[in-house]
Amino acid sequence: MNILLKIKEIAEKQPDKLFATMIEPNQEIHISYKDFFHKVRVTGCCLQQKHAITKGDVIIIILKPSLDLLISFIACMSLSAIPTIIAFPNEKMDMDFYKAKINDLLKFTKGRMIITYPELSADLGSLLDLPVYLKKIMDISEITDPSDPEDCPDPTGPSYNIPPEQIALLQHSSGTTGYQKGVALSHQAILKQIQSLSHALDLDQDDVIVSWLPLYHDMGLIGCFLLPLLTGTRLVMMSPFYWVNNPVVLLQAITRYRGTLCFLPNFSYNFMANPEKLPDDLLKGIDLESMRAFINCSEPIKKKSHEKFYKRFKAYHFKRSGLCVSYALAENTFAATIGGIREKVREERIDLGKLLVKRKARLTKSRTNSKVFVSSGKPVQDTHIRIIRKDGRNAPDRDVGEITLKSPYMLDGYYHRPDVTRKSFLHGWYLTGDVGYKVKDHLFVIARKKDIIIVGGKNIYPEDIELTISEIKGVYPGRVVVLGVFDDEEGTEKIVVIAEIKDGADKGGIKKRIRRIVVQETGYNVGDVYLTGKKWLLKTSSGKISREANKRKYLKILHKENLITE
Amino acid sequence: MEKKDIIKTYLKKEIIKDKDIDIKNDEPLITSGLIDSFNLVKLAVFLEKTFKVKINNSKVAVKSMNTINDIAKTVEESKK
Repeated sequence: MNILLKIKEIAEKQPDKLFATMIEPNQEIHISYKDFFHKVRVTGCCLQQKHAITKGDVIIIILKPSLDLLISFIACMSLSAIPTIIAFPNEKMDMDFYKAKINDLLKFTKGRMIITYPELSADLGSLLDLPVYLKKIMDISEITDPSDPEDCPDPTGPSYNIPPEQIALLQHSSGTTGYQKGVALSHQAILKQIQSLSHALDLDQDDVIVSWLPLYHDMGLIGCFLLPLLTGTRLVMMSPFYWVNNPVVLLQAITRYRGTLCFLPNFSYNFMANPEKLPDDLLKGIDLESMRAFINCSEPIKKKSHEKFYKRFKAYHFKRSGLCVSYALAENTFAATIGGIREKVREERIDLGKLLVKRKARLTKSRTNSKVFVSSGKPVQDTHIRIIRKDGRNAPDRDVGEITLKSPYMLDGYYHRPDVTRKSFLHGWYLTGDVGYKVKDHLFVIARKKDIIIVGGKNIYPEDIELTISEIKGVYPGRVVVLGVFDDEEGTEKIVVIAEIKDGADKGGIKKRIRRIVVQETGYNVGDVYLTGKKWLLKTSSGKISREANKRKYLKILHKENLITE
Repeated sequence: MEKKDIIKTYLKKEIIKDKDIDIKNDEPLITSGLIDSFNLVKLAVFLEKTFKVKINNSKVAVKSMNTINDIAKTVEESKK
């Protein structure tokens, strides 16, 4: 079996069932399984006729979220090419920076072709002159043109005879080096993950997946596109740009189409629970009764975010049992754990002192110097998770260490990157770079390993501090980064906080609050609080604040200032 | 300059080193993260030199130095 045959099978079995509804500001576009498969065929045919595509060619698709994007992606796959979806630049992005990243991507993936819109082709044109593998930048309208679709022979023969172990797609994880590390996944790996995921979600024919997620990350691509497509499930989608400016559209779509499942990163719980972002009067008529699960995924899961969301939406028939969780990563195709579907999500209050110093997650009842951690659930079918200590040995339950995993659908290696691949495995287990602990089968994720700040031998996890600082009046929520900067004089890292604050906000007051928060949460004093105006902090391609890039920017400025005062 | 002002100026200039931050005489300094307890020894040396007193080691602690008022009081008591 391969992905194309699976789609064909579903399209033949339930031709008229709606596969997807794309919600746009002024219209809704519906497409059935039959029509979707037909368009895939036509587009594949155009691609083949106009441009000789050979097996294994990497094709980079830079399109806004649309049916064209979904269709061209599968069409490339049908020709045995390897598609990968990359974020369309938003207007705030610096074009030179964007081009440099695409150039990186071309270099590491040996990309042969870019499919995009004419307006971006002009900007990217100069990449063709570079000594890389890129042969063509193609306008999407060239291949979706439906002239003579019926004359179109089936591009790879009617049998779609693609071997299951052949690479189907590349996905890139977020982070500053994401574009340099493509995760190649085979047809069989994806089909197996979809099977495990459907099982963990108790997916059935009545489910409706509603999504605003971008398709250039695993959560959108696998969870909210390939999962519905390959299981015959209904998908209702909208673009992230549309949702971020009108968050109510997601809830309206759930209400109208009786949505049952929705994957969300943690920040969106806070975002939608905030009446400043989503005013009460817009919620008239919203009904979340049909929702089985909002699945919190791709960022550390915060109890506070769940509580805020539940508190606001219970009046709209949202049930607490709908607060579900997952730990997922592109390197495992997508989900590694899921929780909350069949049993309540486990939460526990942990003694911070023991966690930070002894790296053990010990339960406590005391509300001081403790924190509630939310489990990410249990491994999905065929995924095995182990926590390892620094020496590579297995850590017992409740000991904090690096999360490692093994599954039949994890990556074989990073695409054309044997160097990075070597460092990412230990005796066949993939080293996730995330830190956490296990209690029986329940996984608790604490932080990214590289984000941990080590002050005087004690581990400090920046995420929680950032969240608390975000709540200070005058600070832009979510526009905070906590870093460790090595201090030569002290011989250890010092904690640096960078926060974007509103014009006219009380700087001294905010600095005092931040200093208090850091000392209360870590027991250490802050080394520096750097307050800036809006839009100072740099983001990764997935829109997360980048610790690495902001650390470099901060150090550069500090260095300059020191030179001036010298 | 009054004693409390001298202490305040020193703390702001030499320890907190942040022009945006102003401190009040009754404001907690250590438990609020404004100054690190590692700095208490440095502060005690300054107090001894400036006010010509001998501060007992037991006084170089959070409970006797958490506010400017506390510090001034500790200096007063050290004179006796």
